[in-house]
Amino acid sequence: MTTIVSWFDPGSVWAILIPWFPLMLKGFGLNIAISALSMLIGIFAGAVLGALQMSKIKAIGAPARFLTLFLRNSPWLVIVFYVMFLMPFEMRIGSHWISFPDWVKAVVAFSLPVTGYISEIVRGGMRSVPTTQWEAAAALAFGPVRTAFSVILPQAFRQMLPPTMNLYCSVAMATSLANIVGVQEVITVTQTILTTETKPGLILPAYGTTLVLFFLYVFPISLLSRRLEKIWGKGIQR
Amino acid sequence: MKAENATPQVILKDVRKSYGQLEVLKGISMSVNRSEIVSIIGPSGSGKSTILRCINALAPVNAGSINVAGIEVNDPKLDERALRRRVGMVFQSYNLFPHRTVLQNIMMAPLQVLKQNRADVEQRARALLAKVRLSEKENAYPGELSGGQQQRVAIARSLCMNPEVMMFDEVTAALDPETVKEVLTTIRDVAAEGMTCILVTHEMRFAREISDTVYFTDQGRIVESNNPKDFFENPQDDRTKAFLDKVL
Repeated sequence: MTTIVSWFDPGSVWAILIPWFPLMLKGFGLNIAISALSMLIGIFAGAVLGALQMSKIKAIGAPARFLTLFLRNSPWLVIVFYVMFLMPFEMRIGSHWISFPDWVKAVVAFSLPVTGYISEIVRGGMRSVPTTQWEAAAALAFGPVRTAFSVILPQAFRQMLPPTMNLYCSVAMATSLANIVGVQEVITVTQTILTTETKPGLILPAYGTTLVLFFLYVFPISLLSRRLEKIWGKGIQR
Repeated sequence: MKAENATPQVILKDVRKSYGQLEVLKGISMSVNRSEIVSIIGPSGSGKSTILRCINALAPVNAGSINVAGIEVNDPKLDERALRRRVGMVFQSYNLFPHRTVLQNIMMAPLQVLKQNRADVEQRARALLAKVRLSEKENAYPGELSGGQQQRVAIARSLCMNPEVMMFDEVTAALDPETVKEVLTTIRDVAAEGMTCILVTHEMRFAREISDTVYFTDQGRIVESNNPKDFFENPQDDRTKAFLDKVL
């Protein structure tokens, strides 16, 4: 009880914690950057992989299917570890040395499962469009790629957006895993603050603050996604 | 052009097509001349629609040959798109693109596939919309139209590719009786302009009125073909007689 009361005691826990807020926000900014970038990469790679999954050519479709399943079913933490220790910290391209700071590696790591999930979302979305649409486009001399981009994907978009937003929420929350490999994201920053201040009473408020940060960021996205799902769930009027 | 009128534009020779174990077409041969109007009638499951789908290579054939305006359809190196530019097809379920307006539906293929000039395509699309009497609906979405209106848009969309042959696959089968007429009127207009037409239909009176030749299919074979007058008034085969008794 005493600890709880002391949280709200002016000049104590919060007084110590509040000056650290800008640093925590900066750390959280990195979480957002990592999640946004890995999502961006994952969306492009996943769209390609998802389209390949739809291929009627077995030599293309089967490996794409396998890769999708593999990426979707690997624990994210294991992928993070793997990429961290597998990727060199710098790489020579031509005469340039390009270095990969830890947060870049984290982006690569998170984009892998995202690719798998997006691939499946794209496949499901394209499946949701009746095959007669493919036929109608084919009869108008559209090729398969143009059909996918001009006819099928625009119709599948509504189907795909809500699960993609949900996925983004998961990715945003999962970026906290990057603390384990030393990326200076919000959890790592929080841990540094705690070791600097060496006050056990700070532990719960400090982590509570990160919890609130994540919640404030993720919840509106999640709400919007649910609303879109409700509005668009009925599908396009045919 | 006179000499061309007699030349066959679509030739099927002993075409066979199976789906798995089921042989749907068991040796179909037919020949359609330029500007000829051909109707294919017969009981459901007799392979009528499959014939159309084989002609524009939506369904690859297992044996036999199909030639459309000089293009060998079962050539392994077939350029499907070149073939489908020449052969328009209208489906029973309209299959308009629901995310595009009526005008966009009509313009999409000429713009994206044929890479034609936008102004030209737009002019042509508007003219076709006027022809199917739907000018006022150019900015409507397919979901806002009745079945008959959607089907007329589908016909205009197909015509905007300037095909040499038009195929109509039971295009009135999903329509209310009162809207059937407006679609048939549109097809009549298309045929009157000299377009080669192949119709799969259940509208016997229409087939009789519009066709140059009527084919009757049953169980994957062409049982009988004749000019419409003799076909309907004096059918030769027992299966044709039985079918006509049932539907007329």
